[in-house]
Amino acid sequence: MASLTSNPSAVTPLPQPPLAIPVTRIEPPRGWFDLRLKELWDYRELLYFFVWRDVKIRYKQTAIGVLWVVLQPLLTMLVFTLFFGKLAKLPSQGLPYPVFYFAAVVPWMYFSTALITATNVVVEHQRVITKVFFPRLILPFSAVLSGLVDFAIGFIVLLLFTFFYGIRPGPAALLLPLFLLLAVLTALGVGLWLSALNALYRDVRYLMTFLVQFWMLASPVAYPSSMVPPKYRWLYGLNPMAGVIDGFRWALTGRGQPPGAVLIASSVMVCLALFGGLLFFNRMEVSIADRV
Amino acid sequence: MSTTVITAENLSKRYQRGMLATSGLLRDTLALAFRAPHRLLRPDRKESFWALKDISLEVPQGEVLGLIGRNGSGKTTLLKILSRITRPTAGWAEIRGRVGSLLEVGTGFHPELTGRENTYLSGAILGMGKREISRKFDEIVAFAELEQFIDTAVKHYSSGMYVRLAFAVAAHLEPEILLVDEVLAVGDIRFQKKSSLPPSPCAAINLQPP
Repeated sequence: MASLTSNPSAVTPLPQPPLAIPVTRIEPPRGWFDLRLKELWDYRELLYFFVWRDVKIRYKQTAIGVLWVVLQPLLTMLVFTLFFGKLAKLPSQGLPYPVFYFAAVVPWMYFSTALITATNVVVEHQRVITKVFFPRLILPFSAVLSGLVDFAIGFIVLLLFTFFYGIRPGPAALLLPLFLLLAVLTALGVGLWLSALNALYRDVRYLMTFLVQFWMLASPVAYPSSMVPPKYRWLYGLNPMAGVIDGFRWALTGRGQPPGAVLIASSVMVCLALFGGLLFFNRMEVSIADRV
Repeated sequence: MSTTVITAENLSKRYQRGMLATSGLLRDTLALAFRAPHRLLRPDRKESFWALKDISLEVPQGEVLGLIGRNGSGKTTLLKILSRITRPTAGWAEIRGRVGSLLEVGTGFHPELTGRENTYLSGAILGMGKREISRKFDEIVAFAELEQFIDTAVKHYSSGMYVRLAFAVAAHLEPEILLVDEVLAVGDIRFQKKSSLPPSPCAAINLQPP
């Protein structure tokens, strides 16, 4: 049930106005099951501007600017190759270590950055939130979307990289957008929860470092998922990023197993997180301006 | 004939004072849950206060309404409810037409962005579409008298330049209802004269200091 709506059709016909005048009804909050996605659509232009701004300011006042987009995953990959690969000699599904790691680092870095940005986005917009009305949902959405530009650049480098190593993506590569979508939705779903919680309890911010680190180790970024003992696979599959990273690597290089049951489990988890996150965020939105 | 553009019935807003409101730490909430769990669920009446109580008003089209009151009398709270930033605890209001609210000048400005970029960003946050901003862009820049600095990052602006641009953007919002909170006193005397009238809104609630 909508507690706050702009509904032109609910207007009693007036003699004067030539156009339907939007009527806004302001009432105390109530109701849980209003996702308010229509409102988000009405404000899509503002969403675009938020994403645009994030992209613009991300590397302002840095000496090498956009080069960081390439350097960050590249350096991470080098570190992984050196320590997890050459030193710890973890298996890599027959792939050269640099490719094995780079194929996981690119989606992982997108995800972790998106998640952290989304978690902080409400707190960082405290001033705007308390001064102007717009659907607050825009904020986590923009946080998750703005990382896609960095991802796109990283992905191009990744493609060049795999070509350089003589690996040609097969038809499975057509599934890459699906895995990316899953990563976006995971970041959004969890980000919705965390950003609303962070607005109320700043503890979340300190928890993030640990959470992201733990989550990376619980995903097949630094090692192949085949190392996980079979009896714990189902538990592992509950982590949506396990399906994403595994699937991404598989779709790009053709090595490893196509993710089946794991992917289904992951998708279900994502849907639950997303739906719950939307409800929770909207519920919290009501008091965010008062309590952030 | 005149139609009513703002109707409010018994608008009330209760805020909480004390533990829950002052501390955002989980620790304190947990401590409270331990000591007095019932207070988590039902906020203690003694620790909450009414910032607004039973406000009813009607603003006909074309009227300029000013709210005058002491600090803390709830003027801004009322504006925040009418501009949908916060929800009322009780009562309701109905607004006919597009609302523009200026509770602060320069909302959404980012220091690293140029004047041009901030014009678009701030305009969008205030509720203008991209095309609308493009159409009014030259006018906004001329109004702010910043033709030569429009592509300079706003962090290098003087505070006067900053505020002038912010106000110019806001002044070109053409809402049917304009809600203004003590933001009109901006710039030097010459600029104040230029901006002393809100741009022909149907109705405006205009806050003034006591």
